[in-house]
Amino acid sequence: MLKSKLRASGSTILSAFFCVLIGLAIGFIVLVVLAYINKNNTYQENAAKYVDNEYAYADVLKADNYLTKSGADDEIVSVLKGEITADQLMQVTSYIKTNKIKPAGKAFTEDELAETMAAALGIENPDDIRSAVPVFTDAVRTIILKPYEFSFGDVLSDAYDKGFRAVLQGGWYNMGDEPLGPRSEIADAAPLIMTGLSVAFAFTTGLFNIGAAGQYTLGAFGALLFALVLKCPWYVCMLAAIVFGALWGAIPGIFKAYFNVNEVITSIMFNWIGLYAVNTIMYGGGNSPMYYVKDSKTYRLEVVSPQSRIPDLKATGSNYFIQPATIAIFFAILIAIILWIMLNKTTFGYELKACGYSKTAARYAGINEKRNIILSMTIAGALAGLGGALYYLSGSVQWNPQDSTALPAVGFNGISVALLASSHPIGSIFSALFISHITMGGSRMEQSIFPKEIANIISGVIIYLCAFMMLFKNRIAKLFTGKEKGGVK
Amino acid sequence: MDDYVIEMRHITKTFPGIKANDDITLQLRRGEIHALLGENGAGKSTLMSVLFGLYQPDSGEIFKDGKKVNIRNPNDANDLGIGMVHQHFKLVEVFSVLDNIILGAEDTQMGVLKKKEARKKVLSLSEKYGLRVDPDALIEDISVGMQQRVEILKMLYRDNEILIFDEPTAVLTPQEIDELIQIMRNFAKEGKSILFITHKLNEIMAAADRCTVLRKGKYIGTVDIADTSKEELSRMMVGRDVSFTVDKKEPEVGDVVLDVQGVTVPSKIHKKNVVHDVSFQVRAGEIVCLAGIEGNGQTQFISALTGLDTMSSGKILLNGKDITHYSIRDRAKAGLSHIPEDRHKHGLVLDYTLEENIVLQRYWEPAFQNHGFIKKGEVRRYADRLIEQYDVRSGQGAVTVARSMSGGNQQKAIIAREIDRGTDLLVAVQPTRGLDVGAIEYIHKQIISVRDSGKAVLLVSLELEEVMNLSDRILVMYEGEIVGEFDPKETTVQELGLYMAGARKQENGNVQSKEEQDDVEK
Repeated sequence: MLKSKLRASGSTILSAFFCVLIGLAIGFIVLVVLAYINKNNTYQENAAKYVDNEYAYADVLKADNYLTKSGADDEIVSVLKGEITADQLMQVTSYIKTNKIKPAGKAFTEDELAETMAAALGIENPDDIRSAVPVFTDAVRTIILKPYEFSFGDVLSDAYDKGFRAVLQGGWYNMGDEPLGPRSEIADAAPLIMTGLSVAFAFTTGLFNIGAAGQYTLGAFGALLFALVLKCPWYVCMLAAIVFGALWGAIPGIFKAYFNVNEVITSIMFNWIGLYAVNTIMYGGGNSPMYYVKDSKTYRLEVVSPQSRIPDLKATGSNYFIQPATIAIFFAILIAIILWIMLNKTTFGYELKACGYSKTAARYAGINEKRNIILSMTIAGALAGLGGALYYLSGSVQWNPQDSTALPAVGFNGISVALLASSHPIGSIFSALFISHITMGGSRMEQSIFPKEIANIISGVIIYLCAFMMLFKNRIAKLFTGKEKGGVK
Repeated sequence: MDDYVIEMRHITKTFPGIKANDDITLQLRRGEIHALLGENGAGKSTLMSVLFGLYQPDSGEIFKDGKKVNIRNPNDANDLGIGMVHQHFKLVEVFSVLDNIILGAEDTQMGVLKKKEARKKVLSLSEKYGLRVDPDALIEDISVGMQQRVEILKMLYRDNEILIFDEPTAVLTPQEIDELIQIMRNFAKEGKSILFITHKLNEIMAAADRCTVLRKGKYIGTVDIADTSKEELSRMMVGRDVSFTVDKKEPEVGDVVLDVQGVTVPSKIHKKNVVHDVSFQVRAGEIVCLAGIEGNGQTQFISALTGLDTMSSGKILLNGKDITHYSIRDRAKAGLSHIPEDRHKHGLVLDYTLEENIVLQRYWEPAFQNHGFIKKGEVRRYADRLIEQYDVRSGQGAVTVARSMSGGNQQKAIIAREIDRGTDLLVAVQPTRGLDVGAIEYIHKQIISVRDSGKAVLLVSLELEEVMNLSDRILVMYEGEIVGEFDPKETTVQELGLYMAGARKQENGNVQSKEEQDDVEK
């Protein structure tokens, strides 16, 4: 029994690993396409400047520089086709350069060019050289576009060096490629684990908590209120966040239980109500005790109330675990484990799951399903609320109440975390770490070429693949067992 | 050599955890009605799906007219002249009868449907075989019986020679069943061959020429109906003798266990009461049956009794204690167990495992939990005991997901759970609905043993045979009221039928016809 259980979870993990690999591969392909588009665009933009015989005086100078440095190569010689020689080409460009025939930025007309060429080469009648003008322009064009030419290998190395490498490295390096260690990633993952757990927990009990973002906001507010105004120690602030988040989860739960209002609708509305309410109170017209005008954000924690900061995660002799990495990650992991035990080992979890699977059967079994709906929404809210505290009590971030148009992305990323972990609490730890890794990596990519949302594409692809997991699962399980055996009673 | 139109030789088909077909051979003669008999989960449907191309067999061969064929999908089957009427009809609700019949076999001319020819063909077929249909009616508007005729016409329209009927009588009234059997006989006379899947013995005896019996995925045998009896068939099907009558002792009636006083339940749809002033008693050691035609308030009454719904007035006493305002859990604790009408909706959490379902009504008892932590070992031991004792069969034992179990075994699990609680009152609502002979017999025995151990049983059933066989007292419910009380030994099915239809009503032991009753009220 244990063996088969191990095998089953082994194949689940393996197939998840497969999904991740395929997701990364697809991400890489997207990066390659984008890198190609970028390279090709640069080339085309430069090429577009050289239409027919028109080209700028400056470009001739560039061509001359190139020629004097490296001489005419085979390609240019082949362009010249015997109309003029490579030496003559150089003669013309250096003539134009030394005599400063045109003011910079001006273009030659065909006649002017023919005259200049005739003068440079010592030919009396410019008409004799006219047929060589297009050849000359072609040669200049080839020289100018040379640096923009690219091979597929260049595209690949661009896609890797400027994009994919950052995704793989995640938050382990800073923007200047200096090694940071896992500290910012851990700091990012802790709140993400909490919102992930919030969504996963609600899923398991048959509810879709899309309101994690709002509960997270309320949690952040509760934590900051107790920290900046009441100057409480950090654990009190965390409790306050739990209470605020729980309240914000409970209300949609009550609506669902007693009025049968879909929790998706109420919690979406509560997201916005929460966000604007929190912003209004925190800003308070600029006079709020929490708002620091100079930073146009909330006060810095270490200045106003150092005791409210969650302690750092310090490893001896290394700066890998200093701020923003706090002991928050341990809280998140601990809570994930507690949730797993609660859902799988206790009567409370048994009741909650029964309600999630079949409300009618739960009712038949004498389970109070109204109470359970409210409780599970409350717990989900508390989890997301704690996530807000874990982030804003780390001391490295301040809330900006004037940036009021966006709900915290970490709330919605919680949905991805839960989906990727197929609502398993322990799995949520790893999927949150993974999502925070590639999200941070995504923002470290060369932004002019690759939008940082590529990270979302990767996690989206992985989640889709996980939905097909069952297909892979059976295949992989077969790898373990060989041929599947039938006739088992 | 016999003229076999279809031969399936040594078919084996395995699904994970179960061997659905194990070396099964089926030979169908031209022009015969061949019944395929077996309990739920015996492998009938799998075998037919193999023949129809829905599944590929792991091993075994199929011959058509002596030639080996390979049926990879239903289209192949169609090309070979094999047609199937599925248990759940595959019709487009918003299409007309004619459209449904030609769907998938449309004749077209330059992309335009040749409906006139199709209509002519359908009408001539329907006349020839007495399959009355209105080609222009929409499927959603016609009766189930007519929908079945449409399915049959679909097969005929495709000139199929081999017709498979998958449990065709389950949805029909007795008159419609007779009609269907007549139609099948006509087909056989025409030279068409019919495979008739069922677990109802009476129909096989009435219609079939030969019968192949399957049991637990294995081939048991093929018999000529003329040389066999109902008893022999059922022995082949179940593997032991099955009694069609229920043996039971005289009841030893004890104290009143359930006392229902004037229960009234308001309707959720209209302003009237669905249950009106119902009063009766159930004593220890007796089975009281609440009989009636579906929709006469039985469901609502049971909901009120078990606490699933509220009632507007009345009182319920259990062992003398007033449980009217108890919660569902408190009623369970007070000694009420309930085999619900809908096993999927109420009886089971389908995504829970068998063991989790077995403790559904007692996971909170100290025997199974310690400070809120479930004792997994105890649960497993208890589940294994019940599975063993009540012979609940499943793929992986206690850890099987309930959804993957057969209907009969799901019901057995519920019955095991409810009976094993040993409460003073067992409320069983249609405990044998949709089950086969073996399972029904088993469940009847269990219910009687509950009675014999001195408990009170309240049975709700729509099957008159079950009502007559099991109960010690019969209460007939009509339009939310109890209209009569009978002793099964002194009444007949016909008499019950009159009361159930509302034609008669008892008042304090006096029998009155409905008209007289109305006069009195005036």
